[in-house]
Amino acid sequence: MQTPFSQKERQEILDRYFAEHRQWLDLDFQSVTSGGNAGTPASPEKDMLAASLAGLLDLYRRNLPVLPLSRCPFTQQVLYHSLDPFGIDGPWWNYTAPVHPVEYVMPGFHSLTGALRLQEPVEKAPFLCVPGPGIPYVVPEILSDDHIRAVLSSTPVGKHTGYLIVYFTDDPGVRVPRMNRWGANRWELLDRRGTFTWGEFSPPESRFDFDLRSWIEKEKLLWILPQDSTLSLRRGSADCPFLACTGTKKIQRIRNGKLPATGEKEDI
Amino acid sequence: MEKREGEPKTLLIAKDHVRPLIDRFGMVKNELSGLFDLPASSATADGAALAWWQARTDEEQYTFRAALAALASPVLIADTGVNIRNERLIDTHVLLPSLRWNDPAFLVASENGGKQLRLEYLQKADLFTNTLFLYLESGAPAYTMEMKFEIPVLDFAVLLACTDLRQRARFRALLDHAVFPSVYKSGDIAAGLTEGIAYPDPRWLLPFALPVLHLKADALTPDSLRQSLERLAKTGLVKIDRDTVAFTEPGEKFAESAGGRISSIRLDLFGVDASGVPGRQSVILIRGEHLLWYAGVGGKKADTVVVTSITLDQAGELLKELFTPAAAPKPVVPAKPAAAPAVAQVAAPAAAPQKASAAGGAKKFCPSCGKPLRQGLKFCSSCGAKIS
Repeated sequence: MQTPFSQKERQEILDRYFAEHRQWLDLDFQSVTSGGNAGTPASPEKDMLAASLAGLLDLYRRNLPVLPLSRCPFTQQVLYHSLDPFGIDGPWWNYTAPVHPVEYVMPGFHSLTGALRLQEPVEKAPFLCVPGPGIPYVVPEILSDDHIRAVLSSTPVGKHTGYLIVYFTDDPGVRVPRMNRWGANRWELLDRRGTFTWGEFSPPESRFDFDLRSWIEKEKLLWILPQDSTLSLRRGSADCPFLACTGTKKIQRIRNGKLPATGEKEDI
Repeated sequence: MEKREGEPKTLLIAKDHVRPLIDRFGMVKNELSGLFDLPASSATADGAALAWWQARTDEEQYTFRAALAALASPVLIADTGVNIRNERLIDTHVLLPSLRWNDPAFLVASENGGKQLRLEYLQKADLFTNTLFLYLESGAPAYTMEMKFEIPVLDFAVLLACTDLRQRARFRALLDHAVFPSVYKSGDIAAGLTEGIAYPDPRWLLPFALPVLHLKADALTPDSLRQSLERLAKTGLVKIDRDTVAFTEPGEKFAESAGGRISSIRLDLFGVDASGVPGRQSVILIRGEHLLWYAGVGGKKADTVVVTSITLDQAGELLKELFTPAAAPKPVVPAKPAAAPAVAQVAAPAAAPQKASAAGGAKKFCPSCGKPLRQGLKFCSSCGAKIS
């Protein structure tokens, strides 16, 4: 196993994981339907599968790429953050139970949010994936704070195009709530003092602003040119490729490769 | 025993693991990353580095990853040498990955004959600058005097050679129960200069300062030495009489204080600004028994040294400023009492240590965002933080 894993190595882990997960679900179903929990004898096979599944998830977590994704406009530090860049079928994208290493971020980091322009057909994974809208956006109630700036960049996620909107702050005591991590229903991180913190804040898309031009012109939103390996921060709306993005403004929810229709009740 | 918050965390990594891991993780590199002499990646080194990495615990990996990112893309590297009472020399590199004052930093040093790097994680950069300040603070309170001069780098080297020669002659006179000499032959100065360059013994001022003076190898010739002494005489630091040289009163003040120093610090700073433009700045701080000297290499003219007496408070501000690389290091001249004369002059030492005036002219930076501050403002014009 390479660190970080290659696409092939990742696929091998996921194939094994999903196959064993199905077996575990079958065994679980059998045990529940075979006369009740109280009288059900312990199943060594199920326990072994559970241990194997935990091991596979740990292997996935330990070998997840931690990528240079953005740059803090206050300190010029590069933000390194975990991401599964090979597709949204990796458990990093599991909305309710994301698998990722503890994020050890620099002092200026505030929140990592994002959007994803999907290319059909979408990968199948037995969990809910919520990669955000199809075009980049900002959250005015976060970005309006004097101590917050955001940086917009892009990264491939398998065949899709990911847009990262990372919020940074020059005030460690800023009172603006952190946004949920891109693709997850919570945020979690380890600060420089070694304190593990987590929380939940996810405004609906009605509170998103997709008109980025004014934020860029106010220099509240900076941007990084796609495929710029130096992650140089750019200002001004001229030549900003992200202003031409087209796609859905709805938060996308995907399960088993399907985008649920609006109003469909989701099992979250 | 558990580590307390703020204590440095020490890490050891083989030098030939660094580049392969930086490359493997796709870390962003900048111009300064090449300053550390690190072996290039190879298939063998890559395999060994990977095996080593996978054997690290999660916690070790987090800290090593931050250290590798800092080595790949530092915004400031400060090569630091500290000489305390001529007894020991501490040589270390300080690595800042952030443009903001007091963000986490790393100390980097070679271990095991240069095969390993020792990295110490500092939660705040001032854990290091406070240590430097303590070396300057030791001893009696530092007075300041109205003395400032700007001379070419070569002249400063000659002045330091004269100071070393004076100190040597004094030691010899003490051993011989002789009178302290006050006149030196220019031939002895030339010999001292040559010896100081040839033998890097950091117990003497000239060899200690040489790494940050960036003196060109061919700069020293009999002619250039004579011209230097003539310029020092014009500046008012020495008097020349045929082939003998003596210190004037201002020169004697400098030589006595710097020659009998308690500690000295040399800093060679390499930085990049927000646009990635590199810069370099060198500073020497010499703590005499009663005076504290600042020598900044590369003033407005790149090949000059600005020498001035400063207070401890000013030294503290200066250290903070140097380690707040909001922009590429530019020559810094600390706040100076008003009307500094172009020619060296000496005023009587103040009766008590002077407090540095906060608005004394030293460039200040926002403690929150690190941007330069305009004088008189109560709030940072960049981030709005309140300035005390």
